[in-house]
Amino acid sequence: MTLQSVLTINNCHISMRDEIVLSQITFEVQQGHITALVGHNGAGKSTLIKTIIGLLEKQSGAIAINGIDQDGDFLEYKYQFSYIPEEPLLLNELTIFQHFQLYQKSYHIPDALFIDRIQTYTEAFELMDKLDEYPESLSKGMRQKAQTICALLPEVPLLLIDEPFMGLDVYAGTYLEQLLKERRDQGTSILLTTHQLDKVHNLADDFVMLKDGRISSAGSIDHFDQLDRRGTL
Amino acid sequence: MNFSTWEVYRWVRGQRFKRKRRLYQQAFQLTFDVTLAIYCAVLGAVFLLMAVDGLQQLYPLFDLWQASLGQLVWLLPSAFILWACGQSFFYPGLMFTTSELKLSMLPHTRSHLLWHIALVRGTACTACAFLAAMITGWLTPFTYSFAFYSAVVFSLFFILTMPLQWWLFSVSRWKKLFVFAAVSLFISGVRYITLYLELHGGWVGLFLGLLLLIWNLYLIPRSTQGVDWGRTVEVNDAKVWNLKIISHMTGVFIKPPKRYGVLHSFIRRRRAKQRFTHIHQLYHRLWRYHLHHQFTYVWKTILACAVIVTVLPVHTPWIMYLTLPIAVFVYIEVAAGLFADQFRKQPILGIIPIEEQGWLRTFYKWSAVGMSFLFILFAVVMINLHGLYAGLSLQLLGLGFWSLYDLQQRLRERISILQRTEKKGLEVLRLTGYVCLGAGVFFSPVIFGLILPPLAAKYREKLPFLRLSA
Repeated sequence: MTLQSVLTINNCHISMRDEIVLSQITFEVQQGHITALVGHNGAGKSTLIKTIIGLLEKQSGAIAINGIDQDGDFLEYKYQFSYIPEEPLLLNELTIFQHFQLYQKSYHIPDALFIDRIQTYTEAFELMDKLDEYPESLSKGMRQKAQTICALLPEVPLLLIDEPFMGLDVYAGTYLEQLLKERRDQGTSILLTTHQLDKVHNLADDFVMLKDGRISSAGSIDHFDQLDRRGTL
Repeated sequence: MNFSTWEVYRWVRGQRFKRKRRLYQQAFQLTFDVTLAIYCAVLGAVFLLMAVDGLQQLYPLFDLWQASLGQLVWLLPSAFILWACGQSFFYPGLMFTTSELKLSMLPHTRSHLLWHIALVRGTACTACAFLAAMITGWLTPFTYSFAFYSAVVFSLFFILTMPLQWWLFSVSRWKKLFVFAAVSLFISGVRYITLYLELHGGWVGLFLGLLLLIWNLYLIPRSTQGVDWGRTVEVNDAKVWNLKIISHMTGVFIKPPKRYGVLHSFIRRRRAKQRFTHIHQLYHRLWRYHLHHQFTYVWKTILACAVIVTVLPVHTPWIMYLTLPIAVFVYIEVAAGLFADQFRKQPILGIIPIEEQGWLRTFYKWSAVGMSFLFILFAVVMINLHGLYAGLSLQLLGLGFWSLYDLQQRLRERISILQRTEKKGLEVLRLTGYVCLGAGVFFSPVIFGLILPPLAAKYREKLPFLRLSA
């Protein structure tokens, strides 16, 4: 059985302030696979994720999710993924529950599913008593949990996660790991970046290694050994 | 005095100064223009010569001024106390920034650091005051004794009010207001008694100085107690790094977050935490915050539009044919800019798939409310100029129709840019609309022409000449 590619990145070049930070980026994320984007600090992992979500513009190349090109129907493209950033991007103007409502409306999540997921996730992430709080009154870990729930609410073909376990306590981390595996088994594709190599082995099916702004190696996680160091041959 | 803290603090300040100097150097290298510099030098020299000439003509008046200013010098203590109370609403006075806060995590105490900051600020202020006094004594007919006497009073009360401002900054807004009112009353009372008893101003100064000294003796040992360090650091960081020239060049303005304002507290009242029953409530909330944050642009735009619709036509009535379309155009462009700005400013809104209709409708209402001021002003000015006339209702209908139509089109255009679909309207149709609006003010039946652009836009696919130009 051949697996369908959910995310396709084809020969992407990304530059910032006239300096090329990523070049010749080509890889695919298969349906129902967790792909780990790994690399040394400054390799361009977060930049690549930000380009995939459309926060940064690519210089050339093509990015498509489920066959929908980023430069084609951008709104439809956005419906294909949800994103968990490394630093929570919550709005100071809204309480945690109001953030969930924003995601519900934006992703057209049916009420029944919305309520069910809120119930499940807030209990699991121990956020039940913080729903009507503003983000600034919460700790960073709590904000990260809220942001994680926001991204997990919609049913999307692709989950993009930048450092998923950063700021989460051991219980929340374990729950998220289990949840990501469940989502994968249900057919969701996940592209995540992490520095925790043990997690890469436990969680991912494939890996893509970035080194100095290029893909240095990629393939099944069984072939992943260690990170390439910056500037080494 | 802890010398290790002093050395570290001085080093950090030195590095900060070097970094700022580098930024200014870069800005200078970018903006320096030899021709402009020569012009400035020549103009500066001419201005100096003119100033010297002007001063010479004023020489006889200086003695008179010196006598009256001598009396006013002793108003400085009262002014400084009130100034410190007023400033404490915005600034703590002592530049305790993130760097100093981080230094305090090392073996350097906050009280030592505060002493050093106060020492540097006091010394710098005194040096500046004396330098100014020296220059005044040298260049003007004011006597050196008068200039230095003023500098001493200035420096002394500047230093004495520093702990007061520092303490007041961290207390609650209501406490600040109470202190401000109490101090104002006290100073007014003292001033009244002084005038009534015909006492020399120096006695008042001495009395206030002694009071401040006693207050400082109480405040200084408690200078690190009850301080809102987070807010202090935020405000000071913004002040220290808000380099005006660099900000203007880069368009990046560093401002302290406005978190505890009266409006903010009102917006954050308990009801605001309730869950939304309709998603439009959420959008309205975000627009309200956005417009609050961008209020400078909002009021400036409304004021500018109001001025060109009211002030200019009152002087030259025919100019309304031009100013009304310009005002509507400016208002709509700024409104559309503010609309798009919300999605650029909030990264989360750039990531999630935004629900176009809801966002558009809710902002449309806010913009239409703002625009109604323009309609009212236009009606008032026209009635004032021409009295009540039959065409006015037609003009008002046309103005309302066109403004709301164009606003809707511009908002759709902006959202299409955000969604990368770039559906751009025909500029020629827009221009036609504005021409009809202006001409309709002159001859009201022309207002009917405003129906043409929407019709043409609707049937543009069927009109060959418009299809081509599109």
